[in-house]
Amino acid sequence: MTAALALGGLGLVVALLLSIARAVLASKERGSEGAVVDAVDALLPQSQCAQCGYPGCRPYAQAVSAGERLDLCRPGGPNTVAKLQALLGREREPAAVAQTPELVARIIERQCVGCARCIEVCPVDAIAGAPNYLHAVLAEHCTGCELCVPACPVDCIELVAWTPK
Amino acid sequence: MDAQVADFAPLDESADADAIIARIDAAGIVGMGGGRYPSARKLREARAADVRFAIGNGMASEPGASADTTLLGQHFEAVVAGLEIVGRCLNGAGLALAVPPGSKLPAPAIEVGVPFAGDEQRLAAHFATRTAPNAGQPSDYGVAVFNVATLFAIFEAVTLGRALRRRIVSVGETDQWLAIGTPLAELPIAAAGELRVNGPLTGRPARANAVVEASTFSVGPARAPADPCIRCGWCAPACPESLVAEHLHDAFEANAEAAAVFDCIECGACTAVCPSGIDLVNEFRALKEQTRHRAALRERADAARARSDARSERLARQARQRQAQRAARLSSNHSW
Ligand code: SF4
Ligand code: SF4
Ligand code: SF4
Ligand code: SF4
Ligand code: SF4
Repeated sequence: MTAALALGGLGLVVALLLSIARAVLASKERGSEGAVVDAVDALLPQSQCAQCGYPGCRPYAQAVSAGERLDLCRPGGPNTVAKLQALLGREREPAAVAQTPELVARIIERQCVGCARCIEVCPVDAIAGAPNYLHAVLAEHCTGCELCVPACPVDCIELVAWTPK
Repeated sequence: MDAQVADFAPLDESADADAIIARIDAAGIVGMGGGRYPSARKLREARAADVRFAIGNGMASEPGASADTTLLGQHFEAVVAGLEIVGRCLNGAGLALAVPPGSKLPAPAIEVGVPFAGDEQRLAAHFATRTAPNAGQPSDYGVAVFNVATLFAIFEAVTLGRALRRRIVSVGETDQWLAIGTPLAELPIAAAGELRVNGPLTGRPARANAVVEASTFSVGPARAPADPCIRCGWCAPACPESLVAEHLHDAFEANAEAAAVFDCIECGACTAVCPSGIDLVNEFRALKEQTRHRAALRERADAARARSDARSERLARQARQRQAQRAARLSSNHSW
């Protein structure tokens, strides 16, 4: 009886220890995985444009850390691929992405009908305006992700070359 | 050249600094030693910085670019008069005319025997008897440097009332007075092939449709194609800024970034010694541009990440608020 109790108690203690260890290990793992995602995310252009097929840069960073192709980010271009390759030690992987020009959006004022649809889709809050009023792109915040272009019913958003100030 | 009509009324000795600087502005004078910086602005800044020493730069340190030397031979008094006009604008600053060793010109000419002293920063630093601080401007140490062709143009604008319309240019082996705006393709030397503007060391390949600009002091043949870097290491001791040009060259070749390149004053000393004939200065110009551009892109990305995160948070908060409101409405409905 006592022996059974003692054994049961020991079993309980061991199980407890094991579960704690597992939890600690899991959090460690999450931590280091998070660090890789952070490092990958830091190299991505943050357009949040979803051209990579993921709903934003962070999700793509997570996918890349889990083995997704490195060359799906069009705005990043070959330079970003090269940096990702170096970071992850995956230099031998294909890098079929062309250099694209950096862009910034501009609303053609005379045509804007103030429908406010563009504001809703801009991932970085780079459009100013209110329903029924003229809208404008705040060029210093716009990443040129192009998401607002299809959202505009009168097609009055154009993309022009971005130049650093 | 003396047939040029006056564009303005000549200014006499009684003209004050503001009138002189306004005239230099109106005459369209810019740094004619390649710098292209508006001379009126430079003078205003030198006045504001209380510069106490003005140097005429006649060092002509690009191989084959003898236009400045020829100008000094033809119009020494006019250049000195231009320097004196600059001195009047700078509250009677000290004046010197830096010329290469062996020039045998009278005062205020001073022969300067420092290699590559034609570079504005190196020349200013030489006169300030200290080394050039990284990325520092001559006015930071109380010196303003004006190319001799600029000084001649200043003399013509102020004393003769002439706008800047022509300049002396080394074309191949000769020095000629050419109208500003002359297409380089019209020069006989263009028939021989690609051209290079402003010297083999710190100059640049001539662009398509290039013309003689106010800052064009020499037009010559393009550089021969470069050989690969042979790791001879000669470029390192040549650099006045203690840079290792070889490493910057590697960064350029690798399409990478290099923060150190911003210490490069583009003097061309490394290009002069490179046995592989690499156009190092132009590589470093491109490397500066690239490094700057990449930094700007990173800044843009960091700002976008912060704004995107802030937006996601706001959307989540608004969703929570809507939910709470709906819950509140529902429970108040029940209490009826
Ligand atoms: S394509 Fe590039 S910039 Fe666009 S969301 Fe994907 S990772 Fe971000
Ligand atoms: S304004 Fe348009 S292009 Fe610019 S960030 Fe917003 S959605 Fe993208
Ligand atoms: S979607 Fe087009 S029309 Fe509507 S507010 Fe934006 S820019 Fe104006
Ligand atoms: S041009 Fe060459 S020698 Fe001159 S500062 Fe730059 S790296 Fe040094
Ligand atoms: S001098 Fe020219 S060849 Fe020699 S190490 Fe420097 S860059 Fe290379």
